Amino acid sequence: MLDELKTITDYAYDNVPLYRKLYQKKPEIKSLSDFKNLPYVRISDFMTCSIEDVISDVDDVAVILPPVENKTIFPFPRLENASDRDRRYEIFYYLMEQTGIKEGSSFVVLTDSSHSYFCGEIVNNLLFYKYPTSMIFVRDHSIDEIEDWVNRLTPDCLLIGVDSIIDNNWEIPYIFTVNQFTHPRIPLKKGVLPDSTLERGSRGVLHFDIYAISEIGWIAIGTSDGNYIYPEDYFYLETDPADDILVLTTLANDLQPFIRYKTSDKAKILDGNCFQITYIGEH
Amino acid sequence: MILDTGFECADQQKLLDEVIKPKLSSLFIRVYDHFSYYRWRFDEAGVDPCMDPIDILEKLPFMTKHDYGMLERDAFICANKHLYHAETTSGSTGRPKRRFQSMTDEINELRLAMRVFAGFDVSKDDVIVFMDVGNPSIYIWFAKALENLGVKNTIYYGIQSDFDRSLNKLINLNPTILFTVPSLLSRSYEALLRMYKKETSLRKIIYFGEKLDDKFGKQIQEELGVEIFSHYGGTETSTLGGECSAHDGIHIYNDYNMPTLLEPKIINETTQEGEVAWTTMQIDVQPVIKYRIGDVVRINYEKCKCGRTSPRLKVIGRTDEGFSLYGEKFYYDTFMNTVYSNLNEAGFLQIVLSTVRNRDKLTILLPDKLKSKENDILDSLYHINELEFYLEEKFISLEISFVPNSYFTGRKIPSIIDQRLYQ
Repeated sequence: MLDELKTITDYAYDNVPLYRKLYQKKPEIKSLSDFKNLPYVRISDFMTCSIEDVISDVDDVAVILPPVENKTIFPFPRLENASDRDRRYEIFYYLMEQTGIKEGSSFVVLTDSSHSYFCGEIVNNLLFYKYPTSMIFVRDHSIDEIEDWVNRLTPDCLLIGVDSIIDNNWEIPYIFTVNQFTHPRIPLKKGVLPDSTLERGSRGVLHFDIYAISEIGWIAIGTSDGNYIYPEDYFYLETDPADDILVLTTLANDLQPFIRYKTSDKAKILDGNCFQITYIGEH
Repeated sequence: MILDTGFECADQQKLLDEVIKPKLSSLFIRVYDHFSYYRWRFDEAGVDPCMDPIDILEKLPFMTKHDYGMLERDAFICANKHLYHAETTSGSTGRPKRRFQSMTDEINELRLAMRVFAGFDVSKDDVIVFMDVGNPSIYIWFAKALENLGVKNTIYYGIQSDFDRSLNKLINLNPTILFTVPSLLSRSYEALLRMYKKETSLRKIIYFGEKLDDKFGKQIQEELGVEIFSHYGGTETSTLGGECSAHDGIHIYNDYNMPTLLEPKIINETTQEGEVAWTTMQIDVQPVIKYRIGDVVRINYEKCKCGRTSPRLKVIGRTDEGFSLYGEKFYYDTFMNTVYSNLNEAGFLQIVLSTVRNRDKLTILLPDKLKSKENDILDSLYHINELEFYLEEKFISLEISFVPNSYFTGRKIPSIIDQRLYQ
């Protein structure tokens, strides 16, 4: 891991003005503690630089994923070159592998105006990996109306990409949510799936929660035991000992690397490529 | 329905003086300040951005697809923190063209899209299904415009290459309006027809992205009993217009986008014909001025039966050598560059498009002398932007066929032969 961290830090310093400004001189990473002495980078650092200073090469920008709309603090798009896009697809595939869901299983994605581009990109990834997928735009529908539309499509999996209309007796084997914190010891956010859906209960529903950050993309998938699994070839995770905030380093982003990026979420890192979220900030 | 009568039905001279000219002036001043490309073009043409905007338009040269690439860097930097989205299209050199957008672009374009969708007479009770094969981003934007018009039910329905199986659940949605690209409509038409033999609520089909074959259009109208509307636009220009229920051309809204014809041919008092170039007044981050999108059109300035005074156009041809796959444009030059740039040589190539078992097949004809390099060439072709997706997902097939060198010499042969069904 040390080699990967050194490589990405060197790359960021050499290619991204933001990190040159932040570090002042090229960091010498000889040990993990050297890396952990690097300053955190925050979304405010990205916001105070001009856009060309937070990426390695303007000419390489191939994809911009719009931020989640109506986000009150610092909406920031994800910027990718073609390789970054391919790696994001690989991460998505990794997350789907953890679910054990068969290739060819059908999905329905529920979205609303605020989350539509983000969910649209999930649809794009699902279709690419041969999961037949439809997306329903939720407006002022009642829960019964939404249920009716979903039932007409009889999906194997339902991805709920909205903040509301979640708590329902869905008769669908697999439910996916995005950033709907499910740690059993913390009060659930309003509208979140009830605990009973976390495991195959009487209705036989399995719940997976995708952990994603607008400016980074999807990172991990939460399984029924409350643990989130992430691909360690793509991310290095740590927490700030002062406040338990999750700190994330992208190991494979060329255009816009994030080195010791302080997120807005609290987490507990577990053994292996697992963590638990103890508080979720604004996404 | 006419959404904005004040503009859509305005006296055209009044609109020009009070709306279009001030918008053009503002655009010219803005682009001169922010884009090195435009500054160069203005200076070269000897025009000041503060001059009469119609004079400026006349004096500025037409802008090509190659020129468009010169806007990208300045547009990106200019957008800065307002950067919101990027759209890419396959460029003729194999490098995609990029269009950067801000949130202001999103909002401005939604306003125009709402006018166009209102022209399709959509109702709040319609169930609109967008049917496509991959990235739903353009439909998200359509869905937002429709939401602003009060339409509640819009659903994106992803199709896979097994059309019959993919379309099974579509009938359960019982759409009243189907929104798709003609090539997908034609590939899935037999399956659609079988499903729609029983009673259906479908009453309109809206198509975009490519031309709908006239004969096929009539067949759909007769067999499915639906009204067909065309939505018109491009990646670089966004939405430009759409048909109204009078079905006598595509309404273009010249208070948003100004058409200029290259070497116009006068057909009659109100009608002209020629290659169209667009000036986009509503685009914030990456606007174009007299930009040639490659369409040859006939424009009619006569008032429409629907009451709109906005000009109407009919697309009557294309200037570039290319073809469309499921709404995605591909250019002959892309294939030429892909085959020959790695070989560091010049040569011949012909593209033959056909329909095999309801799927598009691309056959690339090359001279015999390249036979030993077949695998390398196939590998390069496979990685052409977007083509890879269609091949991977088995929407199309690709084959190289070698012919004697004499096939290409001694006579003029077409670059592209399109033998596909419904083209």
